[in-house]
Amino acid sequence: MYLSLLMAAANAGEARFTFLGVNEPAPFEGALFNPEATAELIVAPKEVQLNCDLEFEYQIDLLQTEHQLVIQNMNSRYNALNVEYQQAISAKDLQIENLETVISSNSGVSKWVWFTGGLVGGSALTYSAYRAFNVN
Amino acid sequence: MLKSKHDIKQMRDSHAAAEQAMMEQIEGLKQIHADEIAEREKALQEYKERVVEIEERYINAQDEIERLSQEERQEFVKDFSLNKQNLIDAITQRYGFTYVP
Repeated sequence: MYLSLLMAAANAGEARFTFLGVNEPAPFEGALFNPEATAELIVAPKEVQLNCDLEFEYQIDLLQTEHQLVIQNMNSRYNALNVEYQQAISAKDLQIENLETVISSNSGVSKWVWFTGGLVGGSALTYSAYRAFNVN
Repeated sequence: MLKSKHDIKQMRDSHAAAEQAMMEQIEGLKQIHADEIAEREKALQEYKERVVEIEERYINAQDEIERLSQEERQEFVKDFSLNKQNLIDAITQRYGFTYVP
């Protein structure tokens, strides 16, 4: 008796089942579930559904967060490239302005130097020719 | 001769100005790069915090489901001796089986 009590205590809470044949103390052949197994069968579908919904929500949240990070990184890259572009354009504009200044100042000096040189040289040549060929 | 010196001076000035502009551009690029890295670090930190939060919520929800299911199991086990009709109703509703007394 003591042994059977110990066995009952050890089996308490464990889900178990067995099969019943015809004319065994049941109205038809079938499966017999103890209270724990029956409770498990009743609760399991709902529990599986809840866990499935939770898993979905968890995975979606993770994906959303990951995509949010990707978008933020892309925005950072875009902003950086935009500023880089603006800066490069400004630097090139400045460079062009400097080069234009050099070109314009060079052209100005060259034009007047050549004009004055031509005028003086022409006059000197004319005068020298006049003096050289004028025998009188 | 004077003209040539003048040209060389102007070219040097222009080169110095271009060099200065390039140096400023390099400094600007360094700053832009540092800002971008800081933004990315911040985004990564936020991502990590968010993931920790999601995982905590997930584990808590799992525990809550487990707790509620366990309570429900215990209720149904009790129903075997206290409220068989509740058990019959639950099985009938969930599986559509017919109860035979």
